[in-house]
Amino acid sequence: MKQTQTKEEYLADGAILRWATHTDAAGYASLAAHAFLIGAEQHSNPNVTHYAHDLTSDRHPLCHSSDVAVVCLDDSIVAAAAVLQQPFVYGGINIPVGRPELVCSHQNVRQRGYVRSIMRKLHDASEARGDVMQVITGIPYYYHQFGYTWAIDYNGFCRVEASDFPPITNMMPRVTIRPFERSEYGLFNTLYTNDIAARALVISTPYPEELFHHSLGVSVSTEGFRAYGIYTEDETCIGFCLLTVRIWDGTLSVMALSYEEPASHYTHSVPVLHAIHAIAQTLPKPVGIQEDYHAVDMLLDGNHPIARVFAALNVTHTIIKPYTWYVRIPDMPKWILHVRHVLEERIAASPLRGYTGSVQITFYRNGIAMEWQDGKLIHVTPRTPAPYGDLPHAGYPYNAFCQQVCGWRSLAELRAWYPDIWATATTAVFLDILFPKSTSQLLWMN
Amino acid sequence: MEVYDPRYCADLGDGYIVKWADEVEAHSYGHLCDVVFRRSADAPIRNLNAMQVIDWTDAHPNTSHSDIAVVVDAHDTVVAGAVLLRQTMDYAGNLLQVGRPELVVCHPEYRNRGFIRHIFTLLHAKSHARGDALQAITGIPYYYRQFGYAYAINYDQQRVVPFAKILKHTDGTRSMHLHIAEADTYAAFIALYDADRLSRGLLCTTPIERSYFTYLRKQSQAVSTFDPFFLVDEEDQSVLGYVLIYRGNYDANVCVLGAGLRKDVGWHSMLTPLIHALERHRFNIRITNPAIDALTGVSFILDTEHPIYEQLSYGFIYTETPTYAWYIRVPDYQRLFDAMNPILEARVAHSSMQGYSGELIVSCYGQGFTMQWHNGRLLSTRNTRPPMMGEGAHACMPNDTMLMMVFGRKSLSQIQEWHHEAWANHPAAQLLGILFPTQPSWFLWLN
Repeated sequence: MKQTQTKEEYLADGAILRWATHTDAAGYASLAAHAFLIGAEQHSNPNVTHYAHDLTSDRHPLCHSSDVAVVCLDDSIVAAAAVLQQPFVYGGINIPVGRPELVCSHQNVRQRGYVRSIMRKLHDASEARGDVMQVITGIPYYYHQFGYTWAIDYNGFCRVEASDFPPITNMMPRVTIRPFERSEYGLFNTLYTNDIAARALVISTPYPEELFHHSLGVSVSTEGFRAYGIYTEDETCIGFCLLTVRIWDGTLSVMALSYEEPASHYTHSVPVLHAIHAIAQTLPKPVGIQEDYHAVDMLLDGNHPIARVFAALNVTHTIIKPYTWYVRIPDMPKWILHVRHVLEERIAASPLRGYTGSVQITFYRNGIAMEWQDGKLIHVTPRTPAPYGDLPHAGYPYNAFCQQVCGWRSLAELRAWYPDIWATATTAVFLDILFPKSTSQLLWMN
Repeated sequence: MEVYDPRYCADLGDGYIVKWADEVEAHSYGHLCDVVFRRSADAPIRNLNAMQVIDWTDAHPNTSHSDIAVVVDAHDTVVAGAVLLRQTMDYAGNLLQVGRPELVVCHPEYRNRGFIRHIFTLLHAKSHARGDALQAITGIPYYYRQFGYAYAINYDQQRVVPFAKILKHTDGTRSMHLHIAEADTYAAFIALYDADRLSRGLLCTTPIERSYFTYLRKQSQAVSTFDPFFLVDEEDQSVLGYVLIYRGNYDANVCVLGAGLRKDVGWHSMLTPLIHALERHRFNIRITNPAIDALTGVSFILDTEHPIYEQLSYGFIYTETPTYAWYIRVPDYQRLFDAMNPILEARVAHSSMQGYSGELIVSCYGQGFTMQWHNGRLLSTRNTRPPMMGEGAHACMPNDTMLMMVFGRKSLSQIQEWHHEAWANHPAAQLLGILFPTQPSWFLWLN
């Protein structure tokens, strides 16, 4: 989305913070290449170079060059980050979400608050264009300082070494895998949305047609993935997968994988592994010092059946626990009102059907009050604790509440860690119904 | 002048000063506590906290008026304050000195000006200067996180048993009565108390020194503390055990904060007699809430593993509230681990890493420590500050989870399951698991 250009801001040491234009592509790319050095050899990173060019090319469907904030010092870009639009569905409701990406600063200018200024600018712009939350896949711990909390599982790994692939037997089906054609978005999207629906994900990622087309031809980035169809010998498409466009540290990552009946993970996993293996050997390894391809990583949500299928098929595999998306919800009443219909549906399908009442939740420094009438959410308003005798119905640190609304943790789980999380008996039931623990799969859309 | 110097004061602007209290300000601070700790702005002011502060300033063995930090306005009116108590923690046989902020108060009209933050700067500086290894506070939810505290030790699980739901004595059940433990019975009482706290596999417990026991029995007048009692057999007058009873009401209940029995008797036969004895004792409890007419039950507020809780699960009717937790703050890991050195070495000596030599670098994201081990001896711990993202460390975890692990509340594997930013390489995970196993605690406050 094109940002409204505002005047430059002056930061410490004469630096200037401003929105980028496509002419900043080379500067951003150069900065990123040196900020994300590879390995002990400190090899310049070509992947992020291509990615920075893609984000500032004005051709990326989810990011315009003016969505990139840059800090310039002596005419050089010394810090930068983009805020992409992240396709995001919560309980069937599309939510406008901003995704800060490729956050980097030159090692000579760190600890000056430049990234803090950039994040503020990105957040302001994200909220101004209507985003009700921001998400980021970032380095551990760092983004807490900008109001983010862990709240959505991010791709657990199920790794199978190529040397451990079981052989294809005569009893197994024969399959081939090839990229979808640009004209096949409809076919792909049907398979993709069927998979999401079948797994009852609370948070999922719609795949925009523009990004589908971009990834199949326009993009110069090696940081994305590409959609492939899975075909039988008679050229019937029986499923799809999303594969990264390059080898990452010796592995090819499968971002999504599903089959249409009668095909299944159980019947097709082994031949599909071999088909993916064949593709992996054709993909680039951008940096020579990195490991050669040796394994396939299934980057799927934590409840994905693939690990159980591998176990059933005696496929040797390693489970690597999920990392997590950082989530920032700057205005909880606004967020809740945005998803009110799914909340009302949850109440309607529960023993609290037709609920009427006020639910006061303190986040200690502030809070929210929800007013329900006959099962409808009438108001959600900010709440200020009373100086004497404050009597809310539940208490959470704000970040912990974000974790429950995203379905990442249940109230009981949160309480077992943090004694400042509590709810009255009635409110606990209500909140468990409103925000149940659920599985999500949020794909990054580079 | 150092912050912990009794003469220290700092100008906060607009006529406000933060300082250590003199005797007059200490009494004003006590009154302020009674003003603030009310259910509503128009509720009557009771003299409960003022009495507690007088106890502390006049007679408490481990605190005085100069341990109270206050903010005063231009007219010397105390508008905020807190006291720093001191008590000892027994951490698996290692005695750690603990600074304990208490009665943290700010008049509602003066909030959100950073006064409490300034007061905590004074308390923490004094606590550090006098050598405390940690600070601990039992405070209102969430608030103390901002001062570097984390919920690290489980604290006070409550189970309430209504008197009306207890069956009368059955044949063969012993009867008992409560007998106050006077100051000159310290040795006999502590023998029972220590046998209880040291025999139940607890990590953090509270030694009670003679000076505190004497203060409690001879000088303390405040409601907000407990009295020690012997449990005495009605038949032969022998001592069966001990119980700590809160002086005031706890809601509409008599409140038991600790209890233990002689080794040759068990709660299966003693719990009902104890509850009956408490029912008779209820008329000695000072009811501080005018809305309560009578005490109708007993509120056990004990550690999660207390055998009374096991006994309650066999046929007793009770309600339960989840465990709260102590907030813990460790500003100096080097000091803490130096003080814990014997137990850390003992744990390694009794483990699969016996004789371990090596370096353990732990990042808590922004702070951390490095341990140097040689032949199973912890040669040194240094406070270090690994890079923000933990590069070069053998283990990384947020500081609050580190404290949970050190004080036995959560294991490393539980932390890794919950916090995806927590990780450790295999040797570090093994060593940390040995050094800091999960273990229940009963850390009793000594007001």
